[in-house]
Amino acid sequence: MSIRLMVVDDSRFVYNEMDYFLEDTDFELIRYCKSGEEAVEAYKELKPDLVTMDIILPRMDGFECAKAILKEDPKARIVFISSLAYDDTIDEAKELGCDEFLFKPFERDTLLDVLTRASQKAAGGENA
Amino acid sequence: MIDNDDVRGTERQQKPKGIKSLFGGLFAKREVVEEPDLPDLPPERSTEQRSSSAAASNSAIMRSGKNNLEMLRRTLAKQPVGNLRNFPVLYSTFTMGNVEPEPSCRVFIDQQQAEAGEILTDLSISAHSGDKGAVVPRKGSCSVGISKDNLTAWAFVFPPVNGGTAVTAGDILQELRKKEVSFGIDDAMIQHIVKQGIYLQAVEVAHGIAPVDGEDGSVIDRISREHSASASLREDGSVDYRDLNWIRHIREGEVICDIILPTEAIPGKDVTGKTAKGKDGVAARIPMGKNTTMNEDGTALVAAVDGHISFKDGRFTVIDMLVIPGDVDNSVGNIDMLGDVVIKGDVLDRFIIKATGNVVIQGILEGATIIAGGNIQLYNGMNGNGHGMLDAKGDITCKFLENCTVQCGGKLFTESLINSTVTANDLINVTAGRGVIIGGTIMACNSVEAKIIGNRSHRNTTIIIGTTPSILMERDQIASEVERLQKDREELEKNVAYLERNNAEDNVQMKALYTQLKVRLSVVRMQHSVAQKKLQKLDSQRRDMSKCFVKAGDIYPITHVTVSRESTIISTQTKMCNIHCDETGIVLY
Repeated sequence: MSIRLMVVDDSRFVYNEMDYFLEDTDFELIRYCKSGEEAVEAYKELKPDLVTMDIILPRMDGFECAKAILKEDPKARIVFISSLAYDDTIDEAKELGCDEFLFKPFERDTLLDVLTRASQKAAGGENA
Repeated sequence: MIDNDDVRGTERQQKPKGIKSLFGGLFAKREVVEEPDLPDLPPERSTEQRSSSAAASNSAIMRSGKNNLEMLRRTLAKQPVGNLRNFPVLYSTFTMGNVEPEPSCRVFIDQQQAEAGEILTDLSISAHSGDKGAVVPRKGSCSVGISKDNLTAWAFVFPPVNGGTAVTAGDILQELRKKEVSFGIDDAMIQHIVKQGIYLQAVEVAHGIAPVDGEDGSVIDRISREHSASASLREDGSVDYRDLNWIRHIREGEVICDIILPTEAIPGKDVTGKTAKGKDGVAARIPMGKNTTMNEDGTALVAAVDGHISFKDGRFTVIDMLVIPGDVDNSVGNIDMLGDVVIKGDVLDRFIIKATGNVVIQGILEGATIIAGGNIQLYNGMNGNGHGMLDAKGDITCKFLENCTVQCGGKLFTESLINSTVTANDLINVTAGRGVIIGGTIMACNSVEAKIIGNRSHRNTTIIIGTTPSILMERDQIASEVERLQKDREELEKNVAYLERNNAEDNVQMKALYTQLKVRLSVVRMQHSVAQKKLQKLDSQRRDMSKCFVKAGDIYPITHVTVSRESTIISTQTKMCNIHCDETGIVLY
């Protein structure tokens, strides 16, 4: 059974890259959202198994979006994927219960590792 | 005599239909109006036609040379005796060219009806009895009518009957004087009427000079009032739905429409000697809307500002700020505006916005191209997807710039600058918000400031301050050009001097060479001078390197820093870092 994935990033580059990297894997890319607001609405509708979240987004940023999604569904699994590879941003993500963080730019293996770990935690019922 | 004072201002009477002409076209009998085979009178003609008809008929009168009284008598002698009092008097084919007279003339003629009918009756009796006491002698008489516009006076002369005395030219002139006719009197025609006995006809005997009405003003558009968007064709024949061409540029002072001013009337003179006024032309309604104005002499409507021109509600309007209330997508297309542009929605991927003024985008900006003659302000930021571009002659302010190319003529302020190529002629300030510069190439003439440069994942980040590589390259090229031209110039000067010393003027071949070299020398001198000035200008623009700096709270490896021609690589994380250049090279402290 495939893992339904929603991508939140304002860069179409990232979406295309993930679409390519996740081909023939257990991950099914079900939705691409280019803004935080769009992602909150889409999450309510689709209830994906996993969400990848950029931090720098127009208007509502990635942290605000993650908070809104977690408020709607505290069991939501969110992986941050950002260029903001700094301790404070990683800590901020962890405080939200999102302990998987992937730096941009990323490679296929790293992406799959991070997503697999996050999905396993979700399947194991581990909540952040 | 009929008093025809009321001719002026009297409405035209109903004209009889189908009139059969009797007595050589002078009279018609009302009873025959119903006859179906009778021709109708021709339709009424215009003023110009009437005046030309009148002139033609007067000349016909002059040519006729027949005594109408004798002709009438002979004609009446062939008819049975009867009461002709009810015979309507008509204008003659001579007088009016067989056309309906103008209304006031018609009224005048009809006013002569009663007396004419009486005289006809007397003439008829006289014709049959051979003037033997059938009726008492009747003296000829004359009536004068004046047209409503006072530009024409007619004489209507009644014939003498049964040996009465005929009207003289003096009688006609006296009648004219009674009616205050003093100008344009046609003496020849009066003499002709008298000599030829032109009776029972309205004949023009005085003509005024008609005024010439002024012409109305008008508007001649130089810009079409109708304009609709249409997609443009690419060179390969496909349709570019982004390029809808709905904006029409206009420059300040450009003519929108020519205004033809109305002309004043040229006054004439009526038969009473008074000035006859014409109608002045009426000014055209000028379609003047917002940001349009008249030129100094009022002969053109011009744009008061640069902008986009449109025609709405009967007016041309120029707007210098275009507001797009929604997104820039296929329904709006690319924008090319003389003035400012405000986009309230998003700008979708691959669309192009050009403005000579400022551009403000309140929504999300994808991989679009924004070119502004002024500043660019993005309420959010831009993720250019690798092809997005911002180019502002002024400053750029936004929340973030990611995967894009930026050219800024002034200062750039943002909260994060990620994986982009950015050039600013003044400074780049990334100290607000997250304040990060990660990856890409960042060039500024004066300074680059950020909270953090680079990140933990060792993204290559390049910072260049002072003179940008492109300017340095251009400077080097021009310096080489100056050097080459200097050599050429020296060589040419040497050769010219040699030829002058050896009297090149005396030898034909030498003279040709000398002339050629002189021309070449003047060209090279000019090119050398231009190149030198360009080099001096570039050198004067080069910054004082001691004032150029890079400042960051944290610099992560690997960050390349170049100040003018000096470079260094930051390979370890450095806190509170200031970088500048002095005579020894790059200094970090």
